[in-house]
Amino acid sequence: MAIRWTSIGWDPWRALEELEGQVSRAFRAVRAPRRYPPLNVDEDDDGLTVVAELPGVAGSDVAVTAAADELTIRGGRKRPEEKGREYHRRERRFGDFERSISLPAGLDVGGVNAELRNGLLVVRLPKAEEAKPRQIAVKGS
Amino acid sequence: MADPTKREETRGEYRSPDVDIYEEDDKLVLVADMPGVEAKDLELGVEEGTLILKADRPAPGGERKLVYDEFAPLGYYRAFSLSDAVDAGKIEASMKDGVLTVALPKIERLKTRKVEVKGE
Repeated sequence: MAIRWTSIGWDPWRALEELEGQVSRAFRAVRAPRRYPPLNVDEDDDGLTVVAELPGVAGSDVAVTAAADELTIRGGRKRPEEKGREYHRRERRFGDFERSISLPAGLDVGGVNAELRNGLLVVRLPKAEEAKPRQIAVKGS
Repeated sequence: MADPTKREETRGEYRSPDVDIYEEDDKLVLVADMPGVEAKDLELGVEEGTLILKADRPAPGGERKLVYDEFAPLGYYRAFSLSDAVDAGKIEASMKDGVLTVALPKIERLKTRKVEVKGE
């Protein structure tokens, strides 16, 4: 029920709507869970790069599976022994994780490469030759 | 001991790493998740009773078309004010798999010691 008094300049109804929208958005942002582990996906001319933040995870604690249309990263890190400790702050996340992402067509899944260093997992999926962008020479008249 | 790292500071262009802070009988331990960071990238210092964690992350090179992103590949920064209960001069730190562990021993007087009670 928005009544706009545009001739007056300040529209109290619209201001209320906007405030309500902002408040709702703020609540939604707080409720949305942070995905674990966080992933970044980049694409370039030669392939797709997927980066996952896995601090405290060693190679033996993570498994990467690449299928034609899906990449899955699965693993976990255990909470350390906490006896005798008094915690003042506890923000770090532990536990098992599994995340899958859909892969676009045109990737050479057999050429997948994964490296875990300093808690950062980098998975590289090259594009199949025919999927790489090609410069086309335009013949003139 | 009440939270010995009460006041803290973060900075806009850096990310604030998640930390666990716990206390044992003889020391305070801070553990920070800083994936992508190795010991040589880390700047750790104590200045006037403030513990500062800072690390720059190399920017990803090349022309990249970002498809989807859930984390910003920025460096890390977080600072904590330390109480007088810790001996900042004896700080020890180590880094493994992107996790930084900092041990801050308590000053002698404040270490709690288990006393063995001898019985009859």
